[in-house]
Amino acid sequence: MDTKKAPLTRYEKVNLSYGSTIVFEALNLTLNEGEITMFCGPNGCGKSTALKALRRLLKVRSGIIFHGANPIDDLSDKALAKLMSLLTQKPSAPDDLTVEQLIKMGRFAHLGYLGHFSKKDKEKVAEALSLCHLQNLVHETIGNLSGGQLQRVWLAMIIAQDSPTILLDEPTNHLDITHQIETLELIKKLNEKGRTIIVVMHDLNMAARYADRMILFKDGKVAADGTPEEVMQPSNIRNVFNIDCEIMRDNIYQKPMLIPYKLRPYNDSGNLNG
Amino acid sequence: MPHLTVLEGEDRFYFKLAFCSFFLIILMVASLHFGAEIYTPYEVWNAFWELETEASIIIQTLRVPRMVLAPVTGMALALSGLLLQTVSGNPLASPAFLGVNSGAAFFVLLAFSFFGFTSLWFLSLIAFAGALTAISLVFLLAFSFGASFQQSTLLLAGITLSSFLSSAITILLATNETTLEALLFWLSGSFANRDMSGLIIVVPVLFFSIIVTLIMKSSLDSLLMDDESAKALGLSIFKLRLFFIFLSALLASLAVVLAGPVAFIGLVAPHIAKNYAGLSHLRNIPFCLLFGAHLTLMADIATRILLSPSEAPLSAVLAFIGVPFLVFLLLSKKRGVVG
Repeated sequence: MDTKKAPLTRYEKVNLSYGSTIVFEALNLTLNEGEITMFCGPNGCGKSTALKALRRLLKVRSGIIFHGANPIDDLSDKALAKLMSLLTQKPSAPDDLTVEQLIKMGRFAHLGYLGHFSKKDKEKVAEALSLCHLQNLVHETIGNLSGGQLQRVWLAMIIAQDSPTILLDEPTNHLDITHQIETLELIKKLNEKGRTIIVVMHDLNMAARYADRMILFKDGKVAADGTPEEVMQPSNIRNVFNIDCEIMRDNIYQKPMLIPYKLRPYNDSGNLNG
Repeated sequence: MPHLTVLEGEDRFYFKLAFCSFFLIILMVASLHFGAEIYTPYEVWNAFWELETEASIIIQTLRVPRMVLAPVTGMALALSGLLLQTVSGNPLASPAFLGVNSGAAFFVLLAFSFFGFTSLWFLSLIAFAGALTAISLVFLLAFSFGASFQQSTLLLAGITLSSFLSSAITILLATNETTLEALLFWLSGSFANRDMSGLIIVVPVLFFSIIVTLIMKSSLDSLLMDDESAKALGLSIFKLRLFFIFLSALLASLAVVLAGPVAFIGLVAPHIAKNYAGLSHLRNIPFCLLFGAHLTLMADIATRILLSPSEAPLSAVLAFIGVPFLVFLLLSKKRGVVG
């Protein structure tokens, strides 16, 4: 476990905002190589924003984000894409695209000047197809897929990108429990193959099961940070989500599990009492 | 549900390509035969070796230029439309939306009304200047609307300017009764009496554009995705959008030089190509070019036959052929017959 702990990504006094709405002020955070890190927190706490800023989909107002030795701003679009892939929350593409066409797009950053597919590109696409069990759907158009299948296709595209770090923004959203587990098992498998994985997750129990490290955000600040055991404490949950709860352990994995009881009352200004 | 666009085998692709190319040649040959005067293949063949006969003059000086100008114009407009549809993520986008046609028409009308220019070659230059001016204004507007060229801002700017120019054109036309007929004819585009000198510029630009778009096929494919996903794959989407829109505008403006403002090709040809060959740009660009050429040639032949001995307006004929076809395509797609 200790060999995994080399720092990889560093947010240094990062300020982030959408227009005039400030999301983060002076965020300092270090993420480690080879871990599964899960960003959790209530809606609007900035977890997705932090992820997008790391992938440079959002410009930082001030401060620097380092990835490896370099500030991400020093890298070209393609160079950054070779280091980090990102599955966005609501990816979209025309229904008429085939599964294969979409997954091939994952290789964009690796293509040569003439845009042709090398043998290695084809191997990576085939690898992603088999890892996501999509061999039988290669020629299907994505408009004909179920939600679970479609999510596997997007994941396969990200996997074909073949970057050492993978960022996922709520990858299990809108999936049934079977496909949630399927997706998270796949993520775990990728991690075991050496990928660093950063996930924005809503479901705390799923996060606690699969994460090496959990970070709870609240109002643009890190409210709790550590192993699932350290983070999943009733006091943290009360502080961040404003609910009373009980934490138990599941019988097989011995991971913390949250049972929510009740919401704490709203205060006069319509906000939840912290 | 059957899907014709599901990845074709290589053989099937090349067969279709050969078939469509062959059809283009047939149409080109046919365009030599049909018109106010209909010739037999024997007469056409002879016309190339004779001098000073009626047939040889008509074919060599009138029909050969049209046989070349129509497909080149069609290809330029079709590719222009395809690029714009991909880049804007809007299936309704066409070069006309960039203000190309209305800009050209407006400038030509101004030149006509105030200076009385009549030389066709000079009008072509004026038209080109008008198209470029309109596009620049659309870009400026789009930048001030939102600056990122995301989905709708550019089209919004284009439609705004086009409607403004169209009303200006209507007003100018109302004050210009004497030359109205000639102007109206020019405004609907035509290949009649055009000379081929414009091809010296247009053909190289078209050739360059085809090569570049085929090389950049993967960028175009990935631009079909939402912006964030495309960026995450490593696309510099702002630069790419700017480049492809510029290329699209250039192609459309050059088409105006050849034939005046021609509508519908840039909208319809890309749709047919996407339905026929799928969304992969490596596959659909060749068909887009070919269908653009087919449609324009067919329409040009029809303009000559329909109201013979006078000529029907090209854009009207194109709309007459193109719109029902597009409706059929969209309806059958909805029912799952095509695509």
